[in-house]
Amino acid sequence: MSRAAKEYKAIIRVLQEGDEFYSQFIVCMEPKEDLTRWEALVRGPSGTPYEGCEFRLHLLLPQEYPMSPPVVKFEPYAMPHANVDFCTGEICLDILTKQYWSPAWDLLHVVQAIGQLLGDPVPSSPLNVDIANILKANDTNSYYGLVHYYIKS
Amino acid sequence: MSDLDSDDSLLLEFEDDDENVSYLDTYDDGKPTHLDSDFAKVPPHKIDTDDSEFDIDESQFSGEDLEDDYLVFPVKKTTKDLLDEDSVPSLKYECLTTQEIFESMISRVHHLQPVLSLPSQDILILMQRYDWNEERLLEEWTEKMDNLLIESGLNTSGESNGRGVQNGKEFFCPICCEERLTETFSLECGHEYCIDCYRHYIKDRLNNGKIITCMDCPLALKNEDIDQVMGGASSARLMDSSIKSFVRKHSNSYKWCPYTDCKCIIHLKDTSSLQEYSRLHASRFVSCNMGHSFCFGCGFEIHAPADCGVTDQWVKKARLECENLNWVLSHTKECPRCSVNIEKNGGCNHMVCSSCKYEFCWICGGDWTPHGSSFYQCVIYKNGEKNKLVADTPKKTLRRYAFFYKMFTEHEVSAKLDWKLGETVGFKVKGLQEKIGVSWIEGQFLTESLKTLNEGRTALKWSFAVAYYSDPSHNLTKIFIDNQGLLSNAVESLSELLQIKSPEVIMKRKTEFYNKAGYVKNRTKALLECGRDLLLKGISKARE
Repeated sequence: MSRAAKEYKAIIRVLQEGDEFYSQFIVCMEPKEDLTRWEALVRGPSGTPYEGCEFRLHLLLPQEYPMSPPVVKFEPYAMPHANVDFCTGEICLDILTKQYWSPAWDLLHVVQAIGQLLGDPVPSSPLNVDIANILKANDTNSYYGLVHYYIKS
Repeated sequence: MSDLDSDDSLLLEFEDDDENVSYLDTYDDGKPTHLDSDFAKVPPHKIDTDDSEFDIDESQFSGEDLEDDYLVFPVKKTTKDLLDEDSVPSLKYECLTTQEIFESMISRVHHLQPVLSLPSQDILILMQRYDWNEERLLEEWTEKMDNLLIESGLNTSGESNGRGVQNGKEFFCPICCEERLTETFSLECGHEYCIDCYRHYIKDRLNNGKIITCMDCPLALKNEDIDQVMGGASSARLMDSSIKSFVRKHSNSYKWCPYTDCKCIIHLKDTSSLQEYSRLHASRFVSCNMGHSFCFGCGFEIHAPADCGVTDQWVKKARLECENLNWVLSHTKECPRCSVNIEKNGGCNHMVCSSCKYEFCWICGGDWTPHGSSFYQCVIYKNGEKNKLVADTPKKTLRRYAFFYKMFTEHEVSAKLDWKLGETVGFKVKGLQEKIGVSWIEGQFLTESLKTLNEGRTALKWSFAVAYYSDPSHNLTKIFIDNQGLLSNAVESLSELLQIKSPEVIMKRKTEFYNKAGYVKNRTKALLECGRDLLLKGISKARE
């Protein structure tokens, strides 16, 4: 558990100091109940349809953490993104699979990677097919329109 | 693969050149058995070579227990055997152990050493990365040289500073966040972690069959590093899993023996004949050095006259009743390439089979490549649905199935009883030797009869799978069912004969053993060929 405690301290410090790098991605991040459940607010990166919005992430540390990756999901029915399942909030990201995860990474890395995924969707392995198709067609207007429509409703 | 082929002592080559060798004899116990043994020299019935097919020398029979179905219709070579000799190519394969595969891997590494002039541990890493494909490795090597080494996580500086386990010291490990007196490990990159964390990390990855890298960068751990951290010969486990993934990736020509705890690997040397086999609905039956026989195509037991498709459908259907399979069917799909069942527990529809690394679409089961360019419309699936045939009324199909399934299981149960019978045969042969001084070789007719009985049973059992999928109105199906009946009678009477306990009676009725076993043999062969005819002509077809 000392790993989680250590990460807790590091995250509090980073967020209080207003670390320039991480504050691009993270609005706030705090544990729920105990140190195995976390919630984070991710900032929509500028230059994307998500700009100006905040999205809630749920992180769950498994017993084997850090040898196994954390289980990360967006709030259900809140995240329109090519690699996120809209209904469940599931995320398709390689570093979150046991195969690619490295124990050297921590929760800050994970949230940062997800923040970057918002700006760089990968339409070739989609979980949200509608958005992926629009992205593949390079239709920026529809992309912005669809994402905004989802967010507002 | 030239190195694998070099050891001739391992080869078990099967050639169908002997006219007298029946279809079954080519795969029975891992050694070429030809019928020119004692057993076959006394033919059950004198088979005439002239045109009269029904000419039987009655002097062969004792007369009193002559029954109608003892009439053997000698299979004419000109028609039936032609199918065996000319159409089905002979199967050449060898049986290897993991140790032999490992040795051949190492010898391939040594082969490359003068070309690459790298330490053999480094070449091992490169070969693993390129799936043991020398040509591709050498091609990339001439193109990229040092870049290839960096990509593969090999150190190019030539120094080995800081590599290895460091002695105990006060150390703060960033993984477990504990500060204590501990040994540490790092590669040249200087990413140092405590030995416990490293052990945990390596242990998780030993069974993946993939190169293990530093936790924080792509630098690769070599086998000696793994052994140093884990102690003992842990890298052997990595090599084992590497061999496993090698066999999986070359599943066209390499197969594990499916029997429990059998570590043999069958290597098919000539894959070109495979297509011919499937065209002819013939199965590639092989047997490993331990004497386990199985079908190379589907990994199932010997299932002639059924082909792999019929067998697969039949077995699936048989298990359908089972709750487990219901779950599997509703929650998993088979990898379209290697047929491993895959459960989709999240993630997108772009699937990568964990076993053969095939990339496919979860929706339609097709190759992923066309999906990549044509967005996400799964056209293939929609078309497939239209083509689905309207099923018969479920009730009727079920009743028909229940009948065939009952027959199948009955023969399976009988086969198990025969197996028990087989255990007593050894004693009987011994009894013959001790009590009436029959030589061991002379007593072998009992063992041979038992083998024939087993083969007949297996063929009979699987013939019900073929019959189930056959068009019941077709003439050939009726002939096939008649054939089943004849073989069934023959098998039962041979089985009865094998129950005899008294050595004197056994010796007295020796000719009867020969006759009945020979008859079973002929009937088995006839049934197998009739079954293949059904499949060849499309009268019997595997379907849902």
